[in-house]
Amino acid sequence: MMSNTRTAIGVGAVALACILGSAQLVAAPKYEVVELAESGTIVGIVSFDGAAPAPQKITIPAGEDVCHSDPIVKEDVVVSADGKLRWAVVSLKKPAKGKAFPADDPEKPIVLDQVGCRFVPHVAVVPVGRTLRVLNSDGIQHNVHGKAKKNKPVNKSMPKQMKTLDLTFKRAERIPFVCDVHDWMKSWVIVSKHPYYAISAADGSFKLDQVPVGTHTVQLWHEKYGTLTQEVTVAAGKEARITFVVKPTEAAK
Amino acid sequence: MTIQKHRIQLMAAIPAALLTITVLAVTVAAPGCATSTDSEPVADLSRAEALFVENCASCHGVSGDGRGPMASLLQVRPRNFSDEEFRYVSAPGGPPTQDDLVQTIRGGRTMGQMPAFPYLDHTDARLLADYVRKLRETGVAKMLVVEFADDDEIEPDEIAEIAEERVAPGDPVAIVGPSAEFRIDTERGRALYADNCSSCHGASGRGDGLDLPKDELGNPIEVRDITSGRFNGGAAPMEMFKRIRCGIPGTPMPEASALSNDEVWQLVHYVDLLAGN
Repeated sequence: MMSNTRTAIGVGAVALACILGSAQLVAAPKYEVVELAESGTIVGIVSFDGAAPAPQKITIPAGEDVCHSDPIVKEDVVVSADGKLRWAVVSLKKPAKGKAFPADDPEKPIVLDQVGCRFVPHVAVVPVGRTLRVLNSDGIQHNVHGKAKKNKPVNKSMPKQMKTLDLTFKRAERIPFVCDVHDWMKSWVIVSKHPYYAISAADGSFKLDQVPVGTHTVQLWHEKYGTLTQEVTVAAGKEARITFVVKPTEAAK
Repeated sequence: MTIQKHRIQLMAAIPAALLTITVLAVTVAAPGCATSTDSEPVADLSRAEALFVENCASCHGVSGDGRGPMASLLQVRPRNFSDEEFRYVSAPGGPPTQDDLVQTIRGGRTMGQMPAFPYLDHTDARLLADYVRKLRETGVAKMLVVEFADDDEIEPDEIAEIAEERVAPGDPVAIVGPSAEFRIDTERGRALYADNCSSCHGASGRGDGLDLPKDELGNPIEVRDITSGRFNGGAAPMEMFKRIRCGIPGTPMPEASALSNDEVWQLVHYVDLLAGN
């Protein structure tokens, strides 16, 4: 039995080592902050190709009044009346170099609040190593459960008297955050190595500024519809306009 | 413009043999496509492996995937070291210390079907603890390869490093006894319970606060019925303190980082009262 076990271990080891080894061939370079003598801007719109789904109202069980202060609508797919998709994450794919993150301002940390039993905002971007301040404006019991895979998962109780919880993340990752007490609460924390990120607004618009001159791959990620990419060339002092069209029939998951 | 599946179907491309990988996957260099890690090897690997096969594999499976030959006969599913966090920890949010794993191995888990292995001496129990941690590390590495195969934010050479980080023993919480001023105060305990515990464990402790609680794999789990007086992590006050302070990784049970030590002790006493003691 032992020799069979060892054989299986050996074969498995080779398989995993090969996967890791071949993956190393496409290793991404580290991001480098540089002074940009010239740069351009990428602006765009995220369109939803299809009938806008009706907002899904969540039925909240009886309980804390604060959860009933406003109707709660699911935010995984938010489409405007004119067919624009909100909460899509638009970023440059693997930029080698570019601008720095805005300076850290301890007075204005990046915030993920719990208001009316919702996470606000639905999608937050936080640089690697910088503080994400989780607030409990509701003043009731929540638990802040970040289901990280590259970073250490976090699940901290946030009882009513606990108003702030500061978190930092070591590695870039899209982390779903939930509250198990109120299982409709869900948000995404995008931990990023570089500052070229934008979240599409209610009108589907987004903007990436101070983008280095040249050709870039712009990536869109949406929690329900997966990933889209397109190439865009940025010229000095110019605005490059792009449109992403998300087709729900091609939903990735 | 191309639509890509975020979660690519790499799993199908992984040789079936990969499903059997165990500890050596991150310590053996494969010719022609070697990888390496700084992870500490298990001190006496062949003895650890023999101990695991002899004592653990019938339920947890040879590769630690929780699918040993006895698993289907058990009412409580054996832990899948590959995909699931270790639950019983004395480090906030985990991972467990070596002593935590030794305690589980030698003492068993009262509410599951994990028996105690008191006849294993401390040296063997520590070897086994290191071995199951390695199984978990290999599982995390495999998960990362599959989950992040098309993710441009991961550096492929980070995978072994992340896996090691994710399973390295956590810093144990200081278990501080009640202060000199501490007095058992049932009303204070009741109030703390209402604010910190009742939303999941229910107002009266019957474990009826959540509708459909799930674990990290999406499997239904029970919120502990405190009034049953039975606790998988142990009913001793010190164990209760650790559960409340550190949480139970892989489940909805969070760390209670905002409470003072005396507040945690009030909760321990109140939970003990609900448990009928």
